[in-house]
Amino acid sequence: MEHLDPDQLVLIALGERTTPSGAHHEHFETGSDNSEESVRVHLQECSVCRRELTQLTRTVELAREAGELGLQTPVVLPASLWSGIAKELGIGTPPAARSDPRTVPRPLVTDGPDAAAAVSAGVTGLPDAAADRGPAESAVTAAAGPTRSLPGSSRVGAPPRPLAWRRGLLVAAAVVAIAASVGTGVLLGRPDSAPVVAVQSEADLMPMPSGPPTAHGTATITQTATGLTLRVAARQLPLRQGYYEVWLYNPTADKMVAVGTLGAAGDGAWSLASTIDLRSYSIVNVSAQDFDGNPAHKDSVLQGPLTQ
Amino acid sequence: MTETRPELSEIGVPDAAELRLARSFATSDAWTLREVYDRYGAQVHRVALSLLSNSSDAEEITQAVFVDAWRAKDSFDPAKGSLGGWLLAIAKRRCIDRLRVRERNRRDIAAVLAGNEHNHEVPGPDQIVDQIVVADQLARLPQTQRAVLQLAFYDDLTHSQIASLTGLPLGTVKSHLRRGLEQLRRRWEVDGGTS
Repeated sequence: MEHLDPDQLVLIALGERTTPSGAHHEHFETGSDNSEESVRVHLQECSVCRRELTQLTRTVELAREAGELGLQTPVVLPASLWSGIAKELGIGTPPAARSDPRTVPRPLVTDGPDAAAAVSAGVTGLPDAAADRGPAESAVTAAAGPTRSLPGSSRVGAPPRPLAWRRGLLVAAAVVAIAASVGTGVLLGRPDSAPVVAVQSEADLMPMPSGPPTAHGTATITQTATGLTLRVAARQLPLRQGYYEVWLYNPTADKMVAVGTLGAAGDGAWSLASTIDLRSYSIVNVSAQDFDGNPAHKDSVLQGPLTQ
Repeated sequence: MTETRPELSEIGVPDAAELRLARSFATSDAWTLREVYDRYGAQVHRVALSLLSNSSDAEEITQAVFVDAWRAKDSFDPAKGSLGGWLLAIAKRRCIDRLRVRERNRRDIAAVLAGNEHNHEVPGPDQIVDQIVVADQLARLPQTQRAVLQLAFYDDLTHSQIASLTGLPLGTVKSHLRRGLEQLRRRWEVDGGTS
């Protein structure tokens, strides 16, 4: 027996055909062969298509229920949760820090492809920004306005607004472009090899929806003789055409500062300005960027809150 | 009309990384547990939070689920079901045990355990797990596919309205809808509460 067109079943499951009879041919550009009546008759006779439609319809219901319950909001698990698991099982926390030689933090090199990436991330695309560097807070606030599209400020659960998924990205990009240009003020250069005094704070970095689902990483803030150092070790981030950029994100004010570019192995270490308030800029974010001259925050791939 | 169904193998659920995790889990090291935690921790936590409505209980249960899973990893058989489904089943069991312990909330337990058979207002544990796995997969879809589905799900737009709104060709919209929905459906069938 011929079965119904899968596209057609999907549209029916989504509720595009609400009336059991009558012709809504604008939804189906096929001929009379696929009229409402013939679909109905086919579904009565064909248990395969009937089951297919039942499963698709249930899937649509589940997705809509999940939306109503706000279940799409990304979950950021507290870093203490993994620590608890690791402690109870006696496997160290996190295992990456012990067992993987690649996790030895390396400072950002000043030559080679990483340096090129850093230059691209911080400078290109906004030639005027360096000369026109204003106070970070006011510039970002003014540009941000009511838009909240940066990572962590998800409003998922609420229906996506028409066009928001296209225009919101542009607005967010513009906002973060400014954050990126002023954010370089926080970056004081490569850290000295001063001995580590104490881990002040750490974060487990979790995959974000637009990144590879198995990606993960850790971030630590250490207090050295010369100030605060942020180290990031990311894993399972596939090599790609672009590069990965590390940011500090303030979820309350919805502001970001660019910190630096991850090396090819997924590691990086940067000195932070003593003026940055890590209680506000409490989330470490890693974004996937393209070598397109646009330093604005692009797709979040990893994120995690710093322990306070 | 057509004589073929989309091949499930084309749908990409479970994906290659999941299959690798599932196959290696029983004989894995601590590093793999961390990968498993990164992949499924949020869903386990969400199930616990939805069923227990208490964040400290939910964190405790989430921790217990991964400790349980690690200690019982020899008993996980990737041929019998997905790793996600197995973990979420442990989470569900743990939560139901916890609810039973909450003596003072007997009425809530009755309502939750009765599920949608007797009370349509309170979703049962299986339904909550189903909603969570579908929502999680939606978040994992490629951006355009996800956006198109969200417009259909939450803005109730028809495929032709989505096409004119986004500027995507009609056929592309239909294809995003079908592929995206098939992935959600497959995820639900593989990891869902009754799988």
